[in-house]
Amino acid sequence: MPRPHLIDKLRTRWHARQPFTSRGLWALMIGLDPLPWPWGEEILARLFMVVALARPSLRRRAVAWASVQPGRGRWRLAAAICAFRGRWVARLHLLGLRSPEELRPYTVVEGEEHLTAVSGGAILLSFHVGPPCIDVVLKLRGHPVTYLGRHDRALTRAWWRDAWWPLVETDPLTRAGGGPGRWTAVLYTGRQILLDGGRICIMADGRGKELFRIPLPGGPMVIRPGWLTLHQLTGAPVLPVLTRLDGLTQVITIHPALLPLTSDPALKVSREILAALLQDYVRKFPEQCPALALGRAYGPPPVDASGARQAKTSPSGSCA
Amino acid sequence: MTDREALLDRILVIVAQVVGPKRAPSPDVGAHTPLGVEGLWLDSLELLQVVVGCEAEFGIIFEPAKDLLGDGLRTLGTLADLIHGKNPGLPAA
Repeated sequence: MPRPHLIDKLRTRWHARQPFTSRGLWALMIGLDPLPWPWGEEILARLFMVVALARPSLRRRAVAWASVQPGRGRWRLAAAICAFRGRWVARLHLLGLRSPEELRPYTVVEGEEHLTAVSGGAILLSFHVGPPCIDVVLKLRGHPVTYLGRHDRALTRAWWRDAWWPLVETDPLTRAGGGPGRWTAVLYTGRQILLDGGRICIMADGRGKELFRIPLPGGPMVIRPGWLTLHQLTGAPVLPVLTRLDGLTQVITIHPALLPLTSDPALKVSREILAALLQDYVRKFPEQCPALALGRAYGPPPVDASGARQAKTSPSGSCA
Repeated sequence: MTDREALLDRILVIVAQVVGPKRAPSPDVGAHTPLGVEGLWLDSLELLQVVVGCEAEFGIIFEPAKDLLGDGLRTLGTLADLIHGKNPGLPAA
């Protein structure tokens, strides 16, 4: 018969589940977590590959995306994309990782000099490609950064391990989960952090209002304007950041700061720089782009004021 | 024009600067006009710019947890109340 404290522990783990994780997957991860790292991650990668390829809708999307990537076998690439999605989920939850010290030898930050050259606040502009937890890895490597995001993933990252909390604990005001109205407060908090000389990490792409699109094989990446607004309100430099898995090692590459985005020509130049970075990334690491291939980052947009403006803001009643 | 109307007008000037001439607020907006859906249709980024604009205009500083997560950003009137609460020297809202 299970000991009472074990039941309590399992109950705590079960209740740490976030709505975006299915009950079945959560139960599986609880079962895999006690295995030595990276066994659980490897198993989850293989399971995701098998399940995704067995599901017609996912298989079709993965194969269609893979078939337009140059120089790769489409089935092999589709399988690798689906497997990477499993690895992504495992990394998001730090599956099997007992402490930060266990992960530290498997992390590398390239281009640190670009960040250390910035004396005040800085915006680290990330994308839905590669493994998750850029902020956690940066903190692990000695670069304090606050992640601004929609979901409170901190709750699920640390699960039940106190050793991770200093790295994953977040201010609730940096998470927009719980209602669309929260995003203004989150961005305001980000602005305050930047004005105080701190560093924030924010995703450039995803659901929401569109700033511009970056053409990529298989479909464009939709860039949102939140980071640009923060840049314009604070003057904090914007440093694009990309991350990838090299075997088990998470490599984060910090690129040089974009030009100050105070005019349309400067925005155009930055757009071209971002496009070149992303196109190069997708060409080199297409298997690490499940959000692009499977469309998870771009699903149906949330109800937003931008989609249906009328009478009160425009005398003519037309949309902006 | 009452003091309250004057305060609302100053907020509307900031809104107009944020949204631009194509979406300038229509003359029939008032204290009960929502800032978001079914009103001025400001999205989260535009609201942020309005909030920052109000800070500069009225010499106040918002506290995100207290001021921005409640009803303060619901309508023009609630925003005016919020601003007046931060700076009682302004016209009563």
